[in-house]
Amino acid sequence: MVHITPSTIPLLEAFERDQGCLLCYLWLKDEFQSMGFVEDNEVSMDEAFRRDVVAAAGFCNRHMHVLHRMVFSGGIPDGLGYAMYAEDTVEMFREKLQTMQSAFQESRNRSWNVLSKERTPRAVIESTAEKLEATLEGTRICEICRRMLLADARRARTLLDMLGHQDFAARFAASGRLCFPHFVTSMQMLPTRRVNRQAVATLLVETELRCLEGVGQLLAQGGRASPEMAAMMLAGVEGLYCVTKKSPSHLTGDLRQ
Amino acid sequence: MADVTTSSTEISDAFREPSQGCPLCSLWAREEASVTEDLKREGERENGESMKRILKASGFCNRHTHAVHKTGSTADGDNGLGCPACARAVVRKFADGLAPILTNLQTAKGRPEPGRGKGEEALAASIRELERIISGDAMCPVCQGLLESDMGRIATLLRMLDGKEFAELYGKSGAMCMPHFVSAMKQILGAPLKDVAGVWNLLMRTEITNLESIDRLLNQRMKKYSWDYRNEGLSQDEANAQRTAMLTIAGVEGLYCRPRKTSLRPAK
Repeated sequence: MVHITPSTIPLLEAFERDQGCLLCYLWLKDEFQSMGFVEDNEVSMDEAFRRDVVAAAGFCNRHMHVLHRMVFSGGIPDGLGYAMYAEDTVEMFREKLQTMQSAFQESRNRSWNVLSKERTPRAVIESTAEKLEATLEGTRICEICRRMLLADARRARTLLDMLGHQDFAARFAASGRLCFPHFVTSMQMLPTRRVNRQAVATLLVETELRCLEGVGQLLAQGGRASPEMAAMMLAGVEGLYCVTKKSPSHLTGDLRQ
Repeated sequence: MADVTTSSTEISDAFREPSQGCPLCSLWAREEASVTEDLKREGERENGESMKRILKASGFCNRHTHAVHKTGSTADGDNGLGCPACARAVVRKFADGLAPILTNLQTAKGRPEPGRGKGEEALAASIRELERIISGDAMCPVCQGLLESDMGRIATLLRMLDGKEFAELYGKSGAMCMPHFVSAMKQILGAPLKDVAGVWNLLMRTEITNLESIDRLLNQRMKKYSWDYRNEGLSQDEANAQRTAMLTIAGVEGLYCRPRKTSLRPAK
């Protein structure tokens, strides 16, 4: 029997709601709460938290946009926190760029200096791209992504533990649903759980196969909603695992392969 | 790769148009919308080359999966039907991949062994196979196309900045967003430019001027949140300060976004 605890309640609630992948439902709910959290005056006035945001060079592309939409659609008052995060980040960018430009001007003005690493304007230019990329990537991941990933991993682990109980396993087998990314994530986490792993793995794969076949049938029947349902099943909810840096380095790397 | 002549006209127009954000971002967004709209309206042929690329990438990334399959009507009319053929093909690929995994797990389940026995090995192999299935062997075809065009546009922009006329126009513009600025700086040394230092300096100077003006704007905006200034009105620029900052810090929505496919593994 699954125990009713603070960690199992959200999952049981999501299961009862039956709105697609239960972990996606909680991911979205968590994203909304995280927006409220970072815009809270107590949080945005906290210099240590703002330093963390600057260390991540602001929020990721998605959360810069989602947060802005929520703030200015009236979802969360009042935009001051957003302005503060943006101002800190812009100031950091400006200072870094000014330092690079000063180094460039100095290299143009002074004569050759054997002790300097960046002796010539070309050397300054050569080193700029790397420094800029490091600045844009920051040293941390987006604070909102970090919170959400931690919560998502915690929930996936709890779900696996719940699936170790026969009563919940039977209910999940009958009507449980996970999107493909959450299904694979759960499978990846399974080796660390103290449950009957083979039984849980078999249950997860059987359930996923049932869901995929269901979506396949809907697509075969046609209808406007079926491609959207398929999208939720194949990629999860919009923005799921969109944990990306702003710099294109990882992309250009891929293109060259 | 984007055509150079078309691209230079396109870039020049984008820098002449008054807009709030980065001109290269507006070109990125326009191309993304056009590619996804085409896919939604026309779909893909079951055995076409594009479908092969979609399957190799195990479908689109999260952003483009939703962009392509979002259906319904908009103010402009019908929003297309999504791409059912793409969805069907990827669902089939995933289902076909799961069937042998299930058989392996069921076979191993029947043979319990102590410690890291057959069952654990079967589980580890299943996880590896699932990671392979979900990651695919290529990146999202829409992302790849956008990125190639973007790199082409940046290369053209750098060549154009080598000329006096466009350099003047650029110097008076609102510069680029930080992600595009960094992309341009990364390409600058490989670009065939007569005056690398001159272009570098122009890019840097314009970006700093832009950041300074956004910094000032944000400071003014924040001042207006205080009680003492509550009765002072907001100028249009001040009202848009956060939006301008957002577009400079992160670029247009979805720029260079390549989501992971699972919580624990990055995407291809």
